[in-house]
Amino acid sequence: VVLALLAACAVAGLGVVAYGTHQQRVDEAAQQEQYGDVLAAATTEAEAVVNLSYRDAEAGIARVAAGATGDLRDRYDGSAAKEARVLRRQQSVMVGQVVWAGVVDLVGDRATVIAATTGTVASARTGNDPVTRDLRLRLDLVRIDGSWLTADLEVVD
Amino acid sequence: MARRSRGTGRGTTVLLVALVVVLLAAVGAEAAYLWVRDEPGVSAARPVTTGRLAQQSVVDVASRTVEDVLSTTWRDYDAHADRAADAMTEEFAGEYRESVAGLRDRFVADRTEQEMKVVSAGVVRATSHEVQVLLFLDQYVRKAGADAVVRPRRALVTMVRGDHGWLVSDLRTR
Repeated sequence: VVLALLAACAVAGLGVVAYGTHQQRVDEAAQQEQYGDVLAAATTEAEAVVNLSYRDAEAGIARVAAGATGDLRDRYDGSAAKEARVLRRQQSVMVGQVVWAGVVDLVGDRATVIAATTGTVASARTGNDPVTRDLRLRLDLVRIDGSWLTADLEVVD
Repeated sequence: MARRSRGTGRGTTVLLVALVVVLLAAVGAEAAYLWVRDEPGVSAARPVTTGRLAQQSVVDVASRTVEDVLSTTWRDYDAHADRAADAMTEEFAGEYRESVAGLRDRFVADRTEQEMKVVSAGVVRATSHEVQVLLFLDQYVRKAGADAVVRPRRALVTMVRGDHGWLVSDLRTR
């Protein structure tokens, strides 16, 4: 009887600890999966920014706007026609991809990501010859309704 | 009467033993859940399997180490290479020594001084034994008779946990 009582106490004690640990692991897993979501969203937005062509300017600008929010979205939405005109006038063709991306900070619904891109840009200025353009980008993202959107994007000079 | 009492007593004992066995099995299962656990593998969906503080400490080590490894001068080129190799795994130190040996003559002839400063750092992947960090660096290069030049660089450094701390196991710059 004593042994059974001791075993029951052990089960109860460890059960409390195990439940707490389980909750902690579930929270950790959810938090860690946010890193994947944040990096995927930042990569998509960065690649939208470095892939713009005068041939389908409006569609390219719409892709950038789709992954943006706040002032950044307003900037692309509000001046889409003007941006498209500039691309066409310059005959700009930007092609690129994200080589590496890393999370600088991720707290709650806010995250900062840096992304290294590689690619080329061709325009009237380059005689329409593609010139290498490697960028260092910094993106501030916010989570809205479960989706990570870019609120600010800057080139780190 | 006595036979029935003996039978009831034996039944109670069997019940108690069975209860103890079940309880001990439950204790074992709980202990296994708490202490026997494989770390989940990293994937695109879950590139990080460690906590924020653990990641940050490795990012700080990676930033300092890469600054030290890539900042050198013609005056103590060889001694610096030896010191830098101490922060690397044996295998990567071999690749690094080959690489710096190939650049040595030009570096010394031009009296080059190179300094690297980390301007931003982010976690690409992280487990408890390996962390990949993306670094944005500014490279300051001075050569004899020429003005200093600053170039933006990007580096991907892989750190692995060694016996006495974190070591560089790969370093790629672009």
